[in-house]
Amino acid sequence: MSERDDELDRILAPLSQLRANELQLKRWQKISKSGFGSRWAAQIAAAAFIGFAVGFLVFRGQPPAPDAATANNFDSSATIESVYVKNE
Amino acid sequence: MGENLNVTDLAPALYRYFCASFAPHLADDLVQDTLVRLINKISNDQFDPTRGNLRMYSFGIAHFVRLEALRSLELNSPPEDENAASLAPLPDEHLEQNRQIKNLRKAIRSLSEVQQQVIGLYLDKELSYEEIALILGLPMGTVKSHINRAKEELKLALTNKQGA
Repeated sequence: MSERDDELDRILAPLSQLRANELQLKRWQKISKSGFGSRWAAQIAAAAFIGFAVGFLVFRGQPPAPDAATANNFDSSATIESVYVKNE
Repeated sequence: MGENLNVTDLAPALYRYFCASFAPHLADDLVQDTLVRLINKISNDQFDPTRGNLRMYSFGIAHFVRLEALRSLELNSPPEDENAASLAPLPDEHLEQNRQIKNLRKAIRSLSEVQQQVIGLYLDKELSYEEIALILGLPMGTVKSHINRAKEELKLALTNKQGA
């Protein structure tokens, strides 16, 4: 970078040449991975919970699939019409 | 966003930044603190790429972490415990480098607070003067003059140290 001061860079060289060791790097990478990982795990858990809650509210009280019969009305002037009737 | 956080590149730069003010074991803790805050802010969509890049944003957080550490530990003229166990013991060939860093850190601490802030950020070669100015909320001309003055004072402090 053109705006760097060469003399100051030489003075600061011991610090600017300082390198982190492998142990430190691994620990920092772990923080990064666990931080973002927990976020996605929390979002998936929240989405699953909301999905089950909405499904329960919408479909509660309805008969389970085997109890419902399907009646087909083939009218020549219409497309196939499917009517769901309750099995008494 | 997580994929864009290059910890391997960013964390060592933050480590050097904190090592300009603190002993290595403390600098290590402060890097962790900064990374945790950074990840939380990114996760909460508080990072706005239109206002600066991730590196600049990270150093902005590090700047506040450093100030908080100085306040909480009352380290304005800190009694540095260089003998405290570092997380990674230095091999013999690094002892000379360790001594130079220690002397340089003492010289940096003899600067004014704002000069210390500017020099800490200047250590990262990826940050431009303009970005340093934005992080610290200073005009660019002021940053340049702080850098020039800090350089002269560091030269003097290190010369006196060698003469002593």
